[in-house]
Order: sequence, then C-alpha cells, then structure tokens
Amino acid sequence: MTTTVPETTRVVLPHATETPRHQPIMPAIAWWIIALCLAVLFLYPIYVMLSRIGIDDIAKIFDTSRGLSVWQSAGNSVFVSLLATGIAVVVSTMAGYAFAKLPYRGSKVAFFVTLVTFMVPFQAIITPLYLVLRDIGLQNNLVGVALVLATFNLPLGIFLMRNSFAAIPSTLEEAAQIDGATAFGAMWRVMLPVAAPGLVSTALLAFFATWNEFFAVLILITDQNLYTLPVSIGILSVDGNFGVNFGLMMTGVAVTVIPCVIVYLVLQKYYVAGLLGGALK
Amino acid sequence: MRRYLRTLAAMGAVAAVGIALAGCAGSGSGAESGGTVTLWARDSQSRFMQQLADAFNETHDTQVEVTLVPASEYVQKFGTAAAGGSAPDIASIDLVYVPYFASVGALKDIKEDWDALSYKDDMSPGHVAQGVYEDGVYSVPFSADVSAMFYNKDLFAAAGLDPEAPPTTMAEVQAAAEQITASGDGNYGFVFSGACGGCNIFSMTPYIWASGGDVLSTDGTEALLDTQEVTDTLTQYRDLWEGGAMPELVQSDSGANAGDAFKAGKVGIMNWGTFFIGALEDETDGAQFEWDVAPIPGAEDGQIGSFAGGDNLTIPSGSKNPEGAWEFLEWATGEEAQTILADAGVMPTRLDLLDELYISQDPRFQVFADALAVGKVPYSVIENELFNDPNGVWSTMIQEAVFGTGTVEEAQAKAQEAAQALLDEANN
Repeated sequence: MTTTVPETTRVVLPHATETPRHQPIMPAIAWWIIALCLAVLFLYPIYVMLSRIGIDDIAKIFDTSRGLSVWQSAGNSVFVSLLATGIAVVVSTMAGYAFAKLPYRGSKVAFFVTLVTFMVPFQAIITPLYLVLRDIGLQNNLVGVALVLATFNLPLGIFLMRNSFAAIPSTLEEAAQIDGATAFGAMWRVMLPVAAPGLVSTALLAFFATWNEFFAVLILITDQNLYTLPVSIGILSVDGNFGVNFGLMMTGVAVTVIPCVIVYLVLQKYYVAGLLGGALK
Repeated sequence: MRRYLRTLAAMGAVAAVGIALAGCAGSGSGAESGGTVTLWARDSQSRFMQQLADAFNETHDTQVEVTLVPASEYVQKFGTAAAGGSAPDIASIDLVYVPYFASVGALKDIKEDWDALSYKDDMSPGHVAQGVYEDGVYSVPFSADVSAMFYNKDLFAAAGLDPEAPPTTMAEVQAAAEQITASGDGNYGFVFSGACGGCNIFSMTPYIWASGGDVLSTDGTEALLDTQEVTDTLTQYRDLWEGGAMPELVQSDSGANAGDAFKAGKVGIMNWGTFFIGALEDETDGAQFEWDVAPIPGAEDGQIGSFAGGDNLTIPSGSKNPEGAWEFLEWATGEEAQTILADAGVMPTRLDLLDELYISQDPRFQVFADALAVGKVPYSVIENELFNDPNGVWSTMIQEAVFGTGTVEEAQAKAQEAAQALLDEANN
C-alpha cells in the first residue's frame, strides 16, 4: 500500500546526489600543451639573449680600457642590494608586525598613508632626495643609495609582511605571551618562523628591485667607480655615437640576470607561498 | 626606563655601523686633493675619453678622472648635479646645450683664458659661437660631428645615375631619389628619421642653411620657421614621401632604424654624420656595397650646408679646481689631444690641423672638413624644447608637414607661432 512513496524517493535521491566529481575540465594533454606554450613564451627571450652573445662581446664587456670595470660594478651592486634588502626586510618585518598585531589609534590611517607612497613616482622626488643626501654627507655614496632604495621598497614590504602576520591566528601569540615572552620575543620566536614565506618574498622582491635599479644610481652617484651593474652595462653597450651594440648589451644583461635566476630558483617555493600568504585564509 | 635605554643603545649602535659603512663606501672621492679634476663625458665618447685622460695624466701633475654618463640621461644628470653643487670640474657637453647651461649660470666664464689662446681663430666657427653667451665665453670646441650626404653608389649605377657625380642641388637629390625608387627591386631613394627632432636638425636643416635660409635668427631671439627655404625643404620631403620614395619606417623612426635601412643597401641617399662611417665600415656587419659622401646641397649649384655638431668642453661654475680644469681644456684643444681624437676616428675641431690629422686618413673626409668650415648650429637657450624634444615644435612641424593631412604652410604657420611664443618667454 505504502510502497509507492519510497519508490519515488528512491527515484529522486540518486538524481540529487549524482554530481559529476573528479571530472577533469580538460584532458591532461591539453594542460601540457598550454604549459609548454607558456614555457616557450617565457623562455624564448632568454634564448634570444643567449644567442646574441659572442666570445668577443664577453671579452669587450670585461675589458677595462674604457675606464669602467664590470667586476667593480658587480661588487657595488652586491653591496647596495644586500644592504638595501637587509634594511628593507628588518624595517618591513617590524612595521608589518605592528600594523597586524599591535593596533593603536590611527594605525589603519598610518598603514594607508604608507601604501599611498606606492603611487609616488620616485623620478619626481629624486632631486629633493639628492639634496637631502648631500646635506647628510651621503651623496655619491653607496650607503646613501642603499638607504634610498630600501625606502622605495618599504611600502610593498610592509604590505606583504602585514598580510603574512595577519594570517597567523592571534592565539599563537597569546600562548607565547602567557609563557612569558615579550611582544618582540613573541614575534621573533613564534610568529616569524610561521611567516617565513612572506619574509622570503619581501627579501626577494627588494633584492630584485635594487639589483636592477638604474635611475636612482645614475642620478645619485657621480663617480663611475661607484656605478652599479645596470648603469655600467648601459654605458658599455654603447658603441658608436648612435646605436647600441646588441651583442654587447645582451652579454651585459646576462651578467646581470644570472645571479637573479640563481637566487630565484633557490628560493622559489617560499616565494610563491609568500605571495599567497594572507590571501587565502 | 631600562627598556628605553636599551632601545637608545641599539639605535646608537645602528647609527655607528651606518657611519662606519659610509666611511668605507665613500672612499671614491673624498676631499679634493690639489691636483685632481673630475671630467664627465657621454658614454658615446667612451672609445677615446679614457685614452685622452691617460695621455694627459702621463705628462701633467694634474690628474683627470673620467666618469662616463649615459648620453640620454646626461642633461638631466648634469642639471641635477649643477643645482646640487656637486658638478664635476669639467663637463663635455653636446654643444647645443651650452647656451642653456650658460644662461642659467651653471658654467664658468672662461673668456680671459680663451682670449689668450693663440689658435682660437682656427677653431670650428659653429662650435665657438655656441660658447658665447652675452659678453662671456663658456666653452671651448672639442670634438666634431658634421652632417653630410651618404649615397649608395651601387644603387646609383643600377638606376642609371652616375655614381661619381652625386647630386649638387636639392632638385637633383629629389630626381635621383625618385629614379632609384623607380628602378624597382624594393629600393627606396631617400630615408630619414621622421620622429626624431635631434636627427632632423642635424640632417634636414643643412638644406635650409645651404639655400641661404635659417630656422632661427643668429642671436636666437626670432623664429624663422615660416620662411620660404623651410617651405621648399619640407615640400621636397613631402613629395618624396607621397611619391613613395621613402620606406614606411621613416614616419615613426626615432633615430634607430633609418641608418640601418641605408646600411642594408636598400636606400639610395641619407644625410647622416661623421659617426656613421664607423657603422658602415664595421668588419662584421658593415655595408656590403660601395658608398660615398658628398656635401648636403642647397637650392642652387655650389651651395652647401652642414650642422656642426659634437661636443664642447666646459668648466661648471661649481668646479673645485678651475685652474686644473683649464689646464686640461687648453691641452684638449692642442695638437696632441686632437691627434688622439683623429686617430680614434673622431673629427677634430681645429681647422688648421684637419688636413694633416684627419683628411690624410681618407680622402673622403675632405667632404667633412668642408662641411665643418660652413657648419652651423641653431643658437638658443631653449634648443632642447624647440628642436630635440620629440613632442617639441620642430618635431611636430615635420610630422604635420611631411606626413600630415594639412598643407606644409599650415604646419609652418602653427610652428612659427608656437616657437616665437617660447622664445619670447625665454628671452625676456
């Protein structure tokens, strides 16, 4: 008598639960093709770069008879990049932690103002900066350049570090403080290891930005013995009066790029994680 | 309280480290010792500037330290340094900018020393004129780059023209260009950089000068962009463009491709400079055809014109060692230094030494020597705004007159008005 109702439910239920699971959007081969196309797209310029390099170009780039030494410039680049990255990472970490975990009245406004400095094209403030550096005796000085470049990298660094710290549950920090850690101790011993990917991303971004910086160095340095790689390469790849020798330029670019590629490959897994840190909760 | 003290101590430590680091890194140039002078040069001069400095340093107590600066950033960098009081002791400047830097007080007046030079009347007149501002002299001629007509002898022969008799009037230039284009095979008669103001003041103005006209009055106060000679020159370019005698690239070329088009052997005529020889004679990728140079002609037979480009040496007003700087300037205009220039393939500015040092290398260089003797430079404190700026009056006029939909005269009238307004503002 009452058999019809279960029957209808039995008909309905399978329909409701039959959702296509594990049904790939595209076959694996299509993913391979897309990934290969992207790889070609990104690797082709590098192939072009390497293909233009000749033995004589390498000799010419490292030739110091024109008064510029690539090795010396590379040393300057390493010094400036490491110092600027170090300053940027330390300051970003502290500021990011404060903005994320130690709110005070107006801290949101302060953070917003920090981000607004993203919008300032620093070509517009290079002359005042130059005068400030001159007045404090750091004009034509690699430390002065490093300070300026660290400053340029702070907004992004603070933004990344704040997000990294904000993504960590506060309970972790509270537990540390109950165990008797100071605010700084909690950050240093407990929070920082968890936020390591964000730290690595900040360091990498700052390092690449300072390593490749051309304009600030050009304006702030007035002695060619203190030029960094990008400026020296730009000068050395000019041959005649009109025109660039592409073989020379590509050789110089390769000299500049190789360290970046190595650093990136070593740290890439942290880098991607750090960029997503705070975005996915 | 203890915590504050700790913080203070930490800050003190950081500051101390910073100062110590600054001490290490700033060892490049500390206090000026009695006998060093710093010299800034453009990167395009890197081939000979260090050689020149080495030769000077061997024979003098004063020592020159060269710093190379990318050419495209030179004016900005020099301007910043002059404003910030950290200019070098000597600056080698593209001569078109000398009046501007003299007018803003960035350069030292060297008239007394200049008047004492025994060979000052044997220097390139175009270079000398650029150094004069009001009653002072602010630069000495250094290196020269003049414009001349480069032509492809193979294409001339293929089109039935005499490769040994290059055009001697503007009308002949146009006729030859049209004839080469008509000979087919994808060849063009003429090429220039339509979107490069600096290139065109160098390569187009010589037609105007040779025909007896000008783009500015000699004192730099009046614009002459609506004169008949300018009309004739622009009209000729427009006819060549509309007649298909120029490749498409000329409309948008900002100076990088026109020379390569000529070097590839597909173009009959191009007005370009002394520096182009190096590219044409390059062992690996030079020109694979016979070429020659001739003076840029005017409207009438026998008229020639040229832009006397190149560099002048100046002493910035903030120089810490002006005596040492003048010592180098005097030496750089002398025979030894001008010989080093000539041997590096750069044209000297001493007219009295040209025969012996420069033309002896290649008889074709006689054309450049003749060009330097008549070479001109538009004299203006706002040369950059008027002529070199890619969006300036001159560039806009060429774009509208040669490639535009309006007439040549309309473009000229508009440019004349704009240029005169700028000049009135700058000179008052």
